[in-house]
Amino acid sequence: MNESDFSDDPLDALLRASAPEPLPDGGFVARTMTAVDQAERARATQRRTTPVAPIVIARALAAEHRRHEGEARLWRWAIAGVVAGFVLLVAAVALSPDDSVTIAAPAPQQWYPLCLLLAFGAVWYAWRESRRN
Amino acid sequence: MQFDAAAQSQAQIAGWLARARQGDRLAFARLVQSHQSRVRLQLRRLTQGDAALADDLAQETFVQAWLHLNDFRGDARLATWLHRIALTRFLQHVRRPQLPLEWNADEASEVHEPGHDPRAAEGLTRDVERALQALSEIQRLAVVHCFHLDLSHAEAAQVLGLPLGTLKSHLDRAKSRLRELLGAWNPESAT
Repeated sequence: MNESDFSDDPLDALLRASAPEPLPDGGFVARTMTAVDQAERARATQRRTTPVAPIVIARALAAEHRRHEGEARLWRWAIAGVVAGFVLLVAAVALSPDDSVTIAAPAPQQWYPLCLLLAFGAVWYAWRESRRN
Repeated sequence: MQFDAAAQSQAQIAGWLARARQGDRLAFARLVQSHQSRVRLQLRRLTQGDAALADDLAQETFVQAWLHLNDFRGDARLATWLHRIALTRFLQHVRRPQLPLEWNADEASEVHEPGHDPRAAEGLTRDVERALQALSEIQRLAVVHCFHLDLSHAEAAQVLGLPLGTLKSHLDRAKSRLRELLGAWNPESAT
């Protein structure tokens, strides 16, 4: 405390005399130094981590965007193919001159090869997606 | 008040500080050892006697000090710098940008519960503690920092973020009020 802050005011002495006793350590220093060590390790880890350059982030985002666009295009063509097949079917039935072309559901056992093909296709697609991720 | 730090020579503290800045944790532990009492007492006062919270904040204060030790320019005493960090940490904890310049004294007397001080049974400490509750928060902190934490007026003003004149004004008003409240004590007996 500066000399100029001292006064002979008895109240000042009274207030100083009423100050609480110093606190014993009680393990505080040890706990604090443990926290200091943890903070220092966290800071060292943070320093070691190389920040990703913005250009790298931009390239990754562009690649992801291209992949997404490719999948969307594939889906659009697939849906267009199904719609075109259905339209062709309806047109063939409608334009049939002697009603020889009809729509009849095939027997269940005739669906088995198609189901097998679709199952293989689904497994192949799932395998490809899992390898990509 | 005789803090452990007061017993240490400033040269010794400067030596530990220089070594701590070079990464010597043992030297920093010495600094923590010598300043822990005053920082914890300051925070106990700020947290209204919540010893566990005060110790947590004190620990964070020293961790912050370690991480930013090279930012300490040495313009002030290390104790002043630590008290300032402690106050900032407390204000962050209670999400207040700064200390209120005035605070309702009636509210204060309801909130504060003297008795956490191990010397509360002693008459002087108890009566001063009660008298302090009648002050506004900023007045109480001004008294505590100047008389209990043994800081100069300039240092206390720096810690509390107040202009020196404002701090002295708060101190004068606080002392006037305390003089009324502590009239039963014969101040000469304490000198």
